[in-house]
Amino acid sequence: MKRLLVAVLLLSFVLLASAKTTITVWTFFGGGEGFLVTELIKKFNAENPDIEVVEQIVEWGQLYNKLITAISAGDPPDVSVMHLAVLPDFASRGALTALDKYVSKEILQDYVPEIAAKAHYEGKLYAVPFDTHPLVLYYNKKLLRQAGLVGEKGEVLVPKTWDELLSYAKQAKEKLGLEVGISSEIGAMMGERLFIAYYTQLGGQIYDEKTKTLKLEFDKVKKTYEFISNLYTSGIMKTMSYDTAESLFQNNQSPFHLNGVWVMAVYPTLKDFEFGVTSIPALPGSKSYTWADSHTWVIPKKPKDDPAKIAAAVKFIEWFARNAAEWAKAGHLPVLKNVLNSEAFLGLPMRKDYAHVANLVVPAPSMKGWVEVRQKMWEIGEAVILGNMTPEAATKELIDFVKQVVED
Amino acid sequence: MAVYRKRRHALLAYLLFAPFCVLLFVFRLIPFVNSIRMIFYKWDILGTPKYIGLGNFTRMMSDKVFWSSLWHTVYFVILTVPPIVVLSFLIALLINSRISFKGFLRSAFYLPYTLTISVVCLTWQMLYNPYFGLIGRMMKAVGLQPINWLADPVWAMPAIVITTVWWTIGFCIVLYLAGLQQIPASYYEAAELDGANGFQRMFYITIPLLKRVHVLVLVTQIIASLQIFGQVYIMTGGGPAGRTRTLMQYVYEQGFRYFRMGYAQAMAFVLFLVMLVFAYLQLRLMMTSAKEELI
Repeated sequence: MKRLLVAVLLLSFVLLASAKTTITVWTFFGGGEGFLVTELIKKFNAENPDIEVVEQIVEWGQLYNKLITAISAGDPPDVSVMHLAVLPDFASRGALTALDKYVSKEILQDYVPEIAAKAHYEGKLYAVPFDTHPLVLYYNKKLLRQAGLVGEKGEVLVPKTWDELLSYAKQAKEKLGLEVGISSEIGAMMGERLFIAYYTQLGGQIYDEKTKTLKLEFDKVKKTYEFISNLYTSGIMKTMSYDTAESLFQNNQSPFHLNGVWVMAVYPTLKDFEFGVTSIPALPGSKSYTWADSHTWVIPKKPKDDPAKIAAAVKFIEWFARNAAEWAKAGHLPVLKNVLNSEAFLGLPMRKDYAHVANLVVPAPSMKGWVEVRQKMWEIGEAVILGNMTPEAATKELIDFVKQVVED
Repeated sequence: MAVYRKRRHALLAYLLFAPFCVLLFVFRLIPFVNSIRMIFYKWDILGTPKYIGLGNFTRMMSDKVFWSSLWHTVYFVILTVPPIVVLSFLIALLINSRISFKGFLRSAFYLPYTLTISVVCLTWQMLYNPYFGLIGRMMKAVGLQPINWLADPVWAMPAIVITTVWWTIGFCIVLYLAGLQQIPASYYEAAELDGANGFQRMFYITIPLLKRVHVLVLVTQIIASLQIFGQVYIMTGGGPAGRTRTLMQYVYEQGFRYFRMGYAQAMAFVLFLVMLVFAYLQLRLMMTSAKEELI
């Protein structure tokens, strides 16, 4: 009897010693992105027999709510996906594990600098980003040719400045009798993404590194709202939802389309659809700076740190960032320079046309409360577009609101 | 002996009742008491709550978005409840009458109620699309300019109302049908013998005898509509420019997106008080009509 007991004990020790470290990962990816993540996790598990990554897919709109409640209940996942723009709201509340002492030094040196900077909050690293998804410009080659927008060699004209874009869009719209010249979603795409892009091109700085606060210059904000308002009063754009904007572009009913790079997972697969992708236009004297956000991995704070789990989690998230060429099939741009310049990435369809945008990105400011400010920006943008608010009143409202959020 | 048996019965009853009580206590009562306590705190969910007295309420008073959200909620109730009550009553009358395609009507109007909210909203979103949607195409076919329903500050709320009425009316029709079938046929026969016409039968028999159903439908619909969330969340996200944001959505945003749990609780408490008034009203009206029936 005694011998049996010893044997059982010994056996369980052996089993425990060889047991894998299991880490749970929350993601919110669906469709093409979802398959890619699941494949990558499978690959990681195959390459690392000592670690088992278990993916738990949470619905896109629910992940952050669930994460907050899971952290406050003391039972969050070992790793979670998180947008860079949302990071300060979590990091500022002590909800994330600082990663400085866990992450290998050389990985950070290879990052696109803007993105690496935003992965920090108050000097500490809280996230390992694995992509950038900027706002870019899509154009329909077939419609541009039909509208006579071709150069001497028969190539379609790709607008480099805002003036060019507006005049091409107008010409195509009128010549072909289309509903719009540029299709895009009215809320986030105009009020936040285009806003940040245009405001930055005007020379505006949205975040003041010295004072660590959001900075909005009245005149430049006003000019940005005037520009956005004109897009609609001139009839080149119309108010529409995200899905409508995409449908119009995909069905050859809109010559230009402003959207994120994530649609590149789908557009190249569509039949009879000749399109191109490029950086958004630039103002004279400016580079074509554009809005971008990033997907990152974070390690939520637990009541008690488990070093083995953290080590396994860090191993996974670093591996994922280094293998981002595979993930880039979803359209996103890699954040590690060596992946960004790799043939594996540049060999994907049209990536050469927009890979350079990775160096022109303006991420959201590292600011607690940005999620709230951003929501307000979408609404003010809509009010300006609908003619319910003048650019001047909108500017005042936004600046006042930011002040209120910062003070709260 | 008899007393003993009675006591044993009572014991059994309590025993059977106990699991429900425990669950009610743990999952309803404790959270409720906690949430009441939380309205006096500033709490960002992840940190420790900080007592601020009536701070959340003073914040509410000066919060423009709270007031506009409250108004949008009331506006939604005003637009939704009357058509639901009137239409469900009329359709129930139609189904209850001697027409031949009753079965079809019954299922046709009840079917939407069995669908999930996302299916309903996505379907109507497609119908409302000004470029590709059925409604827009029909308007174009007769030479009208299509309305951009969900992106238009004037039409967005009515569009959500239409969707809601279509979705929820089936439930009220069933309530009315049940009520109609409880009215004894002899009342109508007697009235007919006395020479009452259809109009009189409707206003002196059907409508008064359905009083309890009217109250039930009216009050439950008001309470349900005050809590509107899903349709707005899916169809417009509160837009355009915040014109369809309702109080429930604002509570959700403040609590779960902007980390102001105490403030969200305080606003939810205001909504709770409003609903309590209507629930009390229902109770009173139901009691009086029950008394009348006893007489």
